[in-house]
Amino acid sequence: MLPAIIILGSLGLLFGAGLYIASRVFHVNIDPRIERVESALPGANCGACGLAGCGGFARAIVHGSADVTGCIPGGESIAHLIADIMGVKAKEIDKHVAVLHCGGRDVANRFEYVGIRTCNAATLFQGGPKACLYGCIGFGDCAIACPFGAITMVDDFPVVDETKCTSCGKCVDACPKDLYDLRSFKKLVHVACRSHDTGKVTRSVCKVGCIACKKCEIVCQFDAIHVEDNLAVMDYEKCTSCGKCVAECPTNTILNFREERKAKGLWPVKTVAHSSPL
Amino acid sequence: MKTFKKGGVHPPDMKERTRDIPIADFPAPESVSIPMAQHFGSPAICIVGAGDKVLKGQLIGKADGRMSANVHSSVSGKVLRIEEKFTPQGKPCKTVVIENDRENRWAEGVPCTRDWQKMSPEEIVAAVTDAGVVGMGGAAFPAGVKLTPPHDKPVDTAILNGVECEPYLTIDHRLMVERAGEVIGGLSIIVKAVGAKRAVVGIESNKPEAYESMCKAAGGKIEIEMLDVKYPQGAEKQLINALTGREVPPGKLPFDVGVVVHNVGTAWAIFNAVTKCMPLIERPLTVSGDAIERPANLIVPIGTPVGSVIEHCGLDPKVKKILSGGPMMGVAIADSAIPVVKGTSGILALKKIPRDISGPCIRCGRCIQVCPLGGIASEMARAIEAGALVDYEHLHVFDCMECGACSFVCPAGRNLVQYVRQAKEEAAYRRELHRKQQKKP
Amino acid sequence: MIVGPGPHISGAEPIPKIMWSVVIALVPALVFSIANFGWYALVVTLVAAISSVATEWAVQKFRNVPVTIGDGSAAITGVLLAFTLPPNIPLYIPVIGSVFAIGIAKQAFGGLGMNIWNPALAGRAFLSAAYSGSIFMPKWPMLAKIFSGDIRSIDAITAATPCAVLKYAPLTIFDHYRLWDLFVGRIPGCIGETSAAALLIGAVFLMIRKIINWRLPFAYVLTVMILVVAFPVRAADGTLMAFWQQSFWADPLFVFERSLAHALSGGLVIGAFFMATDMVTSPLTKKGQVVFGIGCGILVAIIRLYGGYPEGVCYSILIMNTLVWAIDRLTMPGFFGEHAHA
Repeated sequence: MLPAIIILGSLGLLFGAGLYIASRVFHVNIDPRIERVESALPGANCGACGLAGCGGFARAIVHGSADVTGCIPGGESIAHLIADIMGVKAKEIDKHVAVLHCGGRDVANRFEYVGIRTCNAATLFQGGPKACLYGCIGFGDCAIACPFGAITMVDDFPVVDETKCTSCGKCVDACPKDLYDLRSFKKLVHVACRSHDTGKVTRSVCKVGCIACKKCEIVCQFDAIHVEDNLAVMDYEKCTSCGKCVAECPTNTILNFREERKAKGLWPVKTVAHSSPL
Repeated sequence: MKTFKKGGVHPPDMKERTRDIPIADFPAPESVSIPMAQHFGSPAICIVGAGDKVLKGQLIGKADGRMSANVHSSVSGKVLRIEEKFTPQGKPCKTVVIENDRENRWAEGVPCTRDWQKMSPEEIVAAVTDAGVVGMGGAAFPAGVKLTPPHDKPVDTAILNGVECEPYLTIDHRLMVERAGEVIGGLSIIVKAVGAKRAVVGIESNKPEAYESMCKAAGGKIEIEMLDVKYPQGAEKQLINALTGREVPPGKLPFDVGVVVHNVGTAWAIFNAVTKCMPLIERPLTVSGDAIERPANLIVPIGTPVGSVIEHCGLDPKVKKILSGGPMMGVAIADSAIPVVKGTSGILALKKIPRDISGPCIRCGRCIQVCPLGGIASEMARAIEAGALVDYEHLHVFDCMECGACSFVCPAGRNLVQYVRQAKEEAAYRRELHRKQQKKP
Repeated sequence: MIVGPGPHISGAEPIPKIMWSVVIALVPALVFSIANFGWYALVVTLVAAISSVATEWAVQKFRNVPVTIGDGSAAITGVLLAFTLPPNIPLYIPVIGSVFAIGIAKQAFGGLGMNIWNPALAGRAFLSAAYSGSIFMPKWPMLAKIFSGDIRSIDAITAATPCAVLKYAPLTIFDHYRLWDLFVGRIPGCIGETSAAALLIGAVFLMIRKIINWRLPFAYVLTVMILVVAFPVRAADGTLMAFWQQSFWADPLFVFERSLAHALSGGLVIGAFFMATDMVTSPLTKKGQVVFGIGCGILVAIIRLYGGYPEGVCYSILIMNTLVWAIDRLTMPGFFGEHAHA
């Protein structure tokens, strides 16, 4: 019994001493701020900042090559936290969200698609099974790509939860029809269509597709919306979100997000009070 | 009997429906839609506009560079419009829609009479290229390019593919039975153009009449060889392996082993192009399948809507799939307005198709046993599903010829070929993106 | 109109057809075991099969994935697990074994096609550790007369299994059991493993249907047969010598008979033809399968001759399952044209 205790005890002391020496001898000097910044970040490693994961972004911040507002999913709150750690002031962030340029929930299928059930696979077959070649196929590549669970498929059509969307941009890459855009949260009016088919063709396949009637263009006082190549396109430099085109559109193609965002408590946008610099 | 060594499957050949039906001409429809991209390589450049009057055999699309082909009108009439339409391959391209005035007026100089024996190899190649001849086996590779081997890679053997390994298709068989003289003539022209010392025609043993007919027409040095029936014996690399024992390394061409391979349909088209100045404006094909009431072997003008050909042969309303090509590598088409193009070797209507089950890989290894290239389809699908791009190279994803033998035997019904196709598309997309990014300052 | 990727025809045998064919191939062995061990053997088999299917249903519901109990793979696992258990096992043991085999050894890895170890054998290994008393017994029961009696009653004969005799008193093997008994299966042992004849009927059926390849089981059994008489064992005078060296010159036929006795004893036939050949857990190529069979054979010979247990089939296969990834990597076919001469 006693020899066992002595032997194991000495081994324990020996290994402990060894570990202590190693931690001294092989110690690497890292700026302690890197670790503090990294623990303040969301840790999703989504890559929206353009760097290799949250660790890479933390290093870039401390070395000065990245801006404290660079973490897009982190948004304002993270930017302020990092600004505090670094002892600087964060600039105003313009929150963005993903918006879908399609409202075609009820578009019929031209044919029955049998094969790998992803939008990217289906689109290789003469543009996909939907009767509208520009519109959403509905197999959910965007929902799978979203690292924050902000996109869910309801009846085979994507719905973006704006409270969860951090505008990381993964849905934009995933959609083979290029239907997603990242747009400033302050812009409330949105043309939910990407079809360049003539009005007659669009109407025959979709109830809410843009028929290029130009009523929106006529009613707009700010010269912000124009019909180009059979599709209404919004110039967001000029748009004031007045909503007149939304009311005028006969096919309900143009949407106004104001009421929806108000109901969720997201509008008007609140600015976070910034704590004093160190 | 010889055959290729590695892999292969034996689908039922289903050729009894059309094997003995002689080739008939399909009457030109009231309008044709001729795409600019019917071949491997860059699309042709359209040189006509809406309202132009065109003659039969007139050039309407000029080849864009060396890896491209000329496109000619298959009818005389007026150009109605130029629009973006889908080809059977699933990609949209410029298509010329011509209204047939039914007067059949030929373009200048077409047809003519030439003696190929008096033509030099360069003149032969020029005639073939001008006529817009491409591979008629389905891949539609510009024939003129195949007839000009690089100087450092001389060709010693010219092979003709009379194998027709796809089930249902019998058009190559009928060409060999009825027009053996023209096919052999085409082979002789090919031999002269590339300077080959040996000419061989490979024919599978399920075509004894074609074998006899070709033996009679072949004189002297042309060998006709009978091969065991196995799919995909008609694939270039496999046919070369079966007839000569040589293996074309991955990423390389038949030129690299001193061989050139053409389909018998291509040889027929080359013969017409060289001896009659005939551009490629019509295409022999088989219409068959269990949902076709009167199967046939037809010569169809390029640009004819697939729908009118099928209507002519009678379609069973219980049809489930319409294919351009054979049932193994053919493409399912959604729209019967899609035209017959240079690469359409068959039109099939099927009412019995395999069930849509896509289960997990049970690692049975059947796909590996049948792959003619020694690829590992189950691992490729796993890597592609996981998006593990780094593994694609060593798994030879990009060397896969998409013959479908693996999917044919997979007990889980996995869409193995579709995974490979997707990976190739993704890689092409990334290369294009990278190229665009490099160009930006 | 349907549009999708090619090929548009299929020559494949769907998975359920393959799995249920294996179940059918096991029916002769089941019939024989009812003859040898009574109706209770059928009860154990059915209980194991039903628990396996029920576990798979429950786990797939919990995982929120499509339920695939109709494909027959859970049923096979249940039947094979029952076949590796003693005929007088209390019913709760195969139930627990099935839950482990399907729930942990198969579903926890991701379901069909994703498991590394043979689920039935993993279940058996689990039970050997958890209920070793019920599984490793000194004497095993058998019905005195076929098709009559209850195995759990005192009328049943109990004796040492052939494997135990070959381990502890090898030279007396033919005093206890004739070769014919070993082949037909009128011997004590686990429910499904005793009758090589009945199992071979099923195995031949599967080989004709091309569901199993003959290479793996033949390599396995042949390796065992050669090594049990080639590896050194203690001779009567205490020296270590290969059995064939001890007896060949005196009685060559005896050496061969001894080899054959090993092949027909224990779970070797069922292991080689039904367990090792499980597609999911065996190598992909034919070459790889031969390597796998030889490896299993070496391990069985070592365990039976030198190890602590009289039977080594279960562990030999589980150990080789662990090496399948390496075997696959080393035995992949070369790509067309890669080694061609220019």
